Parts: sequence; structure tokens; C-alpha cells
Amino acid sequence: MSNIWKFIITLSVSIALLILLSRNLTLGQRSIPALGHFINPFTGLWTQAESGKAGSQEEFSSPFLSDSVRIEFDQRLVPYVYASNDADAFYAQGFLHAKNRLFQMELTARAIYGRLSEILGEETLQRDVFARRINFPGIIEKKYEAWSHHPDMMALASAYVEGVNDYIGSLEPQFYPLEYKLLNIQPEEWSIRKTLAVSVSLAATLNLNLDDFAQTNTLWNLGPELHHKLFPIFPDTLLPIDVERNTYPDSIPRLDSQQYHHFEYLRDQFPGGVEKGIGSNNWAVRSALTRDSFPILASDPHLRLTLPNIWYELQLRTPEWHTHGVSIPGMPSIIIGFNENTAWGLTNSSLDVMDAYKIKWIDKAYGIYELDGQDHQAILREEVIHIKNKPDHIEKVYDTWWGPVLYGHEGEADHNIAVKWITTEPGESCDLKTMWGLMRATNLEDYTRALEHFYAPGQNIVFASVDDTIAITVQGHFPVKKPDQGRFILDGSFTENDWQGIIPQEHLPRMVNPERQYVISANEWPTFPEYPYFYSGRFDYYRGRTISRYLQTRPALTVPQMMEIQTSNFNLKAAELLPRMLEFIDEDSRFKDSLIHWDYHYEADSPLPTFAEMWINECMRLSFDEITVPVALPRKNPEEWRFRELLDDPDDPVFDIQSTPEIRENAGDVIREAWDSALESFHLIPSDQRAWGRSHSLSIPHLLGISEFSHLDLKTGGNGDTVNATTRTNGPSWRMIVQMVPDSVHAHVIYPGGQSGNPGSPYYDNFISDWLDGKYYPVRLEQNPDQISHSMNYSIYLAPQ
Amino acid sequence: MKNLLKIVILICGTWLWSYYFDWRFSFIWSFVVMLLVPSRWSWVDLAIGIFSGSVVWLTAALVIDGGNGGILSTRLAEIFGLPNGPTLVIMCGLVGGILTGLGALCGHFLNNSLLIPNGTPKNTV
Repeated sequence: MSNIWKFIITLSVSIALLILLSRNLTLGQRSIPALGHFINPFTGLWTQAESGKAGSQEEFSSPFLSDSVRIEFDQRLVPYVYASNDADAFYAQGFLHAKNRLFQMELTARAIYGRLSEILGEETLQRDVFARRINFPGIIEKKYEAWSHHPDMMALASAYVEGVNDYIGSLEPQFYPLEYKLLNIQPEEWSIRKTLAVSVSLAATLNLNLDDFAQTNTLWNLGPELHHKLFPIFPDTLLPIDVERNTYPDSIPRLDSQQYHHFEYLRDQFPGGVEKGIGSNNWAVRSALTRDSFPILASDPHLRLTLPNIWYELQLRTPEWHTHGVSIPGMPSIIIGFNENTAWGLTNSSLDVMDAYKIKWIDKAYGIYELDGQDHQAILREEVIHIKNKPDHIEKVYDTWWGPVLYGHEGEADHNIAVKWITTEPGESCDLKTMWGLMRATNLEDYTRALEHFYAPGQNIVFASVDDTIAITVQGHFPVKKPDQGRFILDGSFTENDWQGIIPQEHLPRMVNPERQYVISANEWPTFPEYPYFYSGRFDYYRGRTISRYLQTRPALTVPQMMEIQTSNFNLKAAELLPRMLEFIDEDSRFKDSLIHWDYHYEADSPLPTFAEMWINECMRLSFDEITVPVALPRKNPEEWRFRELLDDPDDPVFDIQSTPEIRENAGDVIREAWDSALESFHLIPSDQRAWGRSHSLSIPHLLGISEFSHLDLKTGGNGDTVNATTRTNGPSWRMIVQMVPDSVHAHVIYPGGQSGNPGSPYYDNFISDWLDGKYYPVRLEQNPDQISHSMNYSIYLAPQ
Repeated sequence: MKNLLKIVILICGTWLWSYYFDWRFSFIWSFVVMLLVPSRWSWVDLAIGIFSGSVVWLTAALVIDGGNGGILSTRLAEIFGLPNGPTLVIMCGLVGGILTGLGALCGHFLNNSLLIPNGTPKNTV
């Protein structure tokens, strides 16, 4: 063969290889970026293979800074920021967030703007459609306007944004975070609006309650009488957040109940659904209850666990304040934390602040609907959603007097439901002002003043200070409603079905230094039923009461005891239900004995919780077989506490099994049948899979669901009813216990993840095993940057240009 | 000695091009070097090319992977369906080697195709 042919053949092979290495590949279901670029050790994936940072120093200058900022890191890669003013401190926070969590920030902002499909393709189109229909971008604009009334806060937000953008500007393409390379995209510039998008995402996670759909389906399935019986708003016995009733106003007019009986057309069946398992605990105890005579505050928000974690831990110090805690990448400020004088924590208030309205169209094609007997014109919004490698999707949405029509576009069943959500009405509120106020609060007055600016998502904000003051406030904007208003889908053709105002700040449930010497919130009812404002929501019955029991039964509380409480797998639901249920079981067996003598701890290696849950679920299924909403549609099932209450009358007709009309069953029959059925199912599980940690293992997925960057099938104890509220997907996303020692406030903290968002970093997931083991890391306010405890000797210097 | 010099030139060039420019320049660089100074035998140029590219990419990957404790390579190996992290490191070296090897071979054959009829290259070392 002549040389020219050899050359041509070799060149052809080479070109083919170069093309192959330059193109994105598909491995199975997964798209792999161009291999040549990706595995080039100098610019590709290897640049994300971080080595230890110990002993290194980085410098960066910016014209935005007014003074130099020093950042020191401890061995967990937690930064300690020393700045000479607030703006520089927030600049540094933005810089650090971008440096460690840039992709997480971008993904969150994109999710709220309904722009995920631009980078992830058709797979996320429905999420984008939802974000556009509910008009998250419109809410961002309203929040922007609200924040504009607070120029001081806008200046801090701008400083934060500068910090983010300066970092992005300094980033060479070869150092883009791994996910950018995998998706072949570039980081976008950050903005205050994107920061607001992150705050809206928090509201969407915590109080976007679409329960009305399931409730309405269930109401029409059961009828009002039985529905009322199975779904009371309050349990018979209750331990609410505010046990002292001091804030209950006595002079507000009582409103007539909301009427639903005219709504025959609501017999439609509605889509939608709710996520169960979001919840949190926090509590504070006064010095009288602690062994060392210092107040203690504990906080553990439970959220969907991901890698990287929702939180980024840091310490910020200026001449005026010094605060440690966790922040949310994309948002300036510390959300939960402590300073030299005070500490605070948050739990979700769980009140229903989103209501659904059925629109009565006069002419849907032209967006004309009926309101108070008159024609009204809806505004048509055309949302263009770009989809990677596909043509754009156009989503047409009508905005009504109530809000956007959430369901009802072409191709779907004709639901035509508009929603009204408190988050869309910020007024002049600025949640940054609350966080900034809490970060620098020195006493109860500062805490109270800071809270006034907070409107959504409604939170139970616990407080403790070194002067032995503790407090809790159910803070947020909550609509004034008629009794039962908003539990079900409302008639959108009458404005009288609108909210009746907002509960005044001074009427919000709140306790300061209660007689019992402690305050608690764990997503339970905020008040006793006699609180004059009606509310409904999704409330937890067990965790708050469990914590209360612990606090009451331990005479001299210590930090280790608080750790025990936070990580406790004791299940009060099982403790209250199982003894009662076991009374109906006649057989004598070792298995029954083991249940009788069980301490009701849902430990990972015990099979008893697995059986207990199966048995309880089966009892509930058989007892509430009156609910026949099709499986494909959302429905409500009564809570376990209601089942326990109904057991007080074993002959209640609700226990009659519907499929055997010839027999009249009672509670005993149901419980025995459920026992046999659960036992049979339990024995079908291989014996090595029966342990609770196996049957309800926790997964902490990467944000893009890449399994290699995730921690899957982790053996954990607890469930949604235990203080250690770990479910398959959710769990304590941050555990913090602060001891309020004057001049030496210190804490123990941990979260399931790591400081770095880079899967190639040793700090990506290094807290997870300690978190699973119930361990904590000690932290304190470090006064001297040269003497950080457990310092890594890794510094970043930010200097003015 | 000349071959050793070519190896040094290829290693330095491959490192520079891969670091500062596009990885495809590694191919072009070895192509140009062998076009200008080919060996008598094509297999020698191929071997020099493969060796040089492999050394650069493999060494770089090894150093980075060692500093990282294999955290990233282990995770990415799973994505690529490879058994473990070291395999990804080796694959990295292979790709680098094949790139420069093929570039070298192309350069060699092009030089030879511009030859006098008896097959003696214009410039041989």
C-alpha cells in the first residue's frame, strides 16, 4: 500500500476518533458529555478532583469591597468571615456560596423561574409548566418591589450579588463545577431577583399546600357528616405551641361558617397532591431546667435531603455582630443560628395559606368568567418554555381576580382551578430584614422587632438569650378565614369567598418565658381550639408531645440530653396505639410478647417497627374503607390520632367493613383481621430485610439524581412521628443545640452532607456518617482569626481594589 | 538521542496544548512534529506518540487522583460503567496516548507520501 493511502486511512481513523471524542455520548439512559474534553486532565473533570486545602491561601480583589475581608476555614471547611462592615460580610457570603454551591444556586433559581427544561430537557417540562402557571416569576417581581421599600436591605442584597458575580467572573471554564460540564452549560450571572427566587423556593417547599384538592375529593366521596367525623380539625386532647393563651384576642367578631353545600359542580375529581414528611422541631428551655443553669436552644429543621445539602454553614463577624449558623446558598444572611447573646430556630407553621377557587367561565375561549354576577376578563399570559433539543413549549395561563388558573389548560381535564397564595402578597415585607435583625439581635426586643418584617412562609420562630429569656412566635401572614373556609375548593364566582384580612401581628400566637419554663414547636397546632381565628393545615400530633415528655421527665437538662432528644427514635404514636390494639389480640405468642414489652423505639436494626407500621396501616385501611376515591386521584386518609380516638368506641359503625355487608364488624374484628394480614405480609419479607433500617431506608440523592453522587439506602431509625423524623427522603437537615453561656455562647451542630457542592471534593459528603451515628461537631464564636479551633490553615483574603 | 528529543518536545507540547488550549491540539502537535522530523519506521513514531501522550495525561490524572484520594475517579468510573477509579485513570492515559499516537502516525505517513519514489522520506532521523 502506498504511503498516501496509509496517510488517508490513518487520517480518516483519526478524524473519526476526534469526532467521536468531541460529541456527547449516550450510555444507557444517560447523556455523557464529549469524552475528549471531559477526561482531559487539565481542563476536564479532573479539575474538580479537589485535594486537601490545608496550608493554602487564596487572594482576590474587588472594587466593590470597602475594606479587606479575611476568611479562615476550619477542618470541616466551615468559613469564619471577618469583615469590617455588613456589606463586605454579605459580599464574602455571596463569594463563598458561589465558590462552594454555584450549581445548586443556579438550579434552584431555574426551578422557580420555570427554566429547568432549558438545561435538562423535556424531563422537567411539567415542573416548569407548574412554576409558570402558578407564576413564581410574578411573585419574585412582587417581592422585589417589596424589598425596594428597604434600601438598606437592597444594598446588602446587592453586596451579596456582587460577591457571587465576582466569583463567577473569576472562574475559568475549566474550573466550572462538574455539573456544568456534564450538562455542557455555563454559569449565569446572579441577581437580586434570583436571590428572591431562592426565597420563593423555600415558600414553595414549606407552604404551598394543595391539600384542598384531596380534601374535596374525599368530602364528596364521604359526604359532609362522615367527613366531619373522620377529619376533625383538632384532636380531643391537644398540646399546642401556645399553651398560655395570652395572645388570644377576645373582642374579634365571630364569622359565619363557610358554606359548601351549593357546590354540586365540585363533584369533579381533582388532580394535585401534597408531600408528607416536611416538618421540624425546635425548643428552648430556661436556666431553671438545666443542670448548668444556662438556657439551651435546640433546632432541627426536617427537609428533603439532597447532596449538596440545602444548608451551608458559616460564621460571620463584623465589629457590630458575630453570628454562626446555616445559610441557604443563593440568599444572604444566616437563617438559623446564634450570636453572642441570642439564638433562634425555625419550624414550619403548617397553616393553610393557599386556597383554591373554582372558576365559572362565561366564555373560556375569551377568558371571561363570572364574579358576583358580572362578567370579568381574565388576563392571558403566554409562557414560553425553552426545552433543550426540542421546540419551545407555549403555556397559556389565565390570571383571574383570585390568582392564576393552576389547572385547566388544553389537554387536561377541565378543572379550571385558580389559586390564591399568601406568598403572592408581600406588601412591604422584607424577610431579609428579619434574618438580618435576628443575626444581630441582642435581646427579646430585637427579636420581636425583627419578626415584624417576616410574612412567608409562616414559621414558628423560637428564641433564647443569655439573659435567660425564651420565646416562641408563630410568625407570618395568615389569612383571616371563616370557619372551614379554604379546607375545600371554594366557589370562585363570589368575592365573599375571599379571605377576610390578615391576622394582626399582635394576635399571632406567642409565648415569652412561660410558667413551664420551656417552649416547643414541632409543626403542631399553634393554639387550642378556642383561638378565635379559624385555621386549618397539616399538623403533627406526636413530636411536640414527645419532646415535652422528655423535657418534663429530665430534672436537670444538659446538652448531651438534648442530643439524645434530637436523635430519639421513640415513637409516641406506636406507644399510644399499640397497647390499645394489642388488647384485641387473643393469641399468645412470643411475637405478641415482644410487642408488649417493646419500648417503641424505631431503631434501625429492629424488625418490630416494620411490623407495627404494617399493622397500623392495615387497620387504617380496613377501618376507613368508606373512602373509595379512585387510587389515581389524591385523597385524604384520617390521621392515626383520629383512629386512636375512634377506638374508644369499638362498636362505632366506621369499623364495619364495607365488603361484608352481611356481617357487622367492630374495632376488634378489624384489628384482628389486620393483625393476621400484616403478619402474613411481614413473614413474606425475607428475614434479613425486616429490620426497620432496611425496610424504610433513607436516600440522599444528588440534585440531578445522579446515583454515583448520591447516598442511597442508608440504614436509619425513626420515622415522621419520631423526634428524629427521618423518612425515606426527608430528615433533620440541620441539628443545632446552643448553650447560652454569657460571653461564651457555644453550640453543637451537624447536617447530612458537606460544605462543598463538588462531588469530587472530600468535603462533599463528609458529615453523613457522623450524622447517621448521631454525632455533633462543637462550634463557638471565634474572636481571633489566628486562633480558630480545629483550623485548617486555609485562608481567603478579599481585598478592595 | 533524536527520538528522546522528540519525546521531550511532544511531552512539553502536549502538556501546553492540553493545559492552555484545546485537547485536540495534542493531536495536531504530534502530527506537526512527525511531519517535520519523522523516524525511518512508522511504528517508532507511533510508539513515541503513544508514549508521550500517555505519559502526560496519565501522569496528570495520577497526580490529581492521588491528591484527591480517588474520590472523584471512583464516582465517575461508575458513570462510565468502569469497574473502579484506577481504570478511569488508565483510560485517561490511553486516550491521551491514542490521540498523540494517531497524530504522529498521520504526520509520519504524510511526510512519507511527499517522498521520492523509492520511499525514502524527505527528512528522516
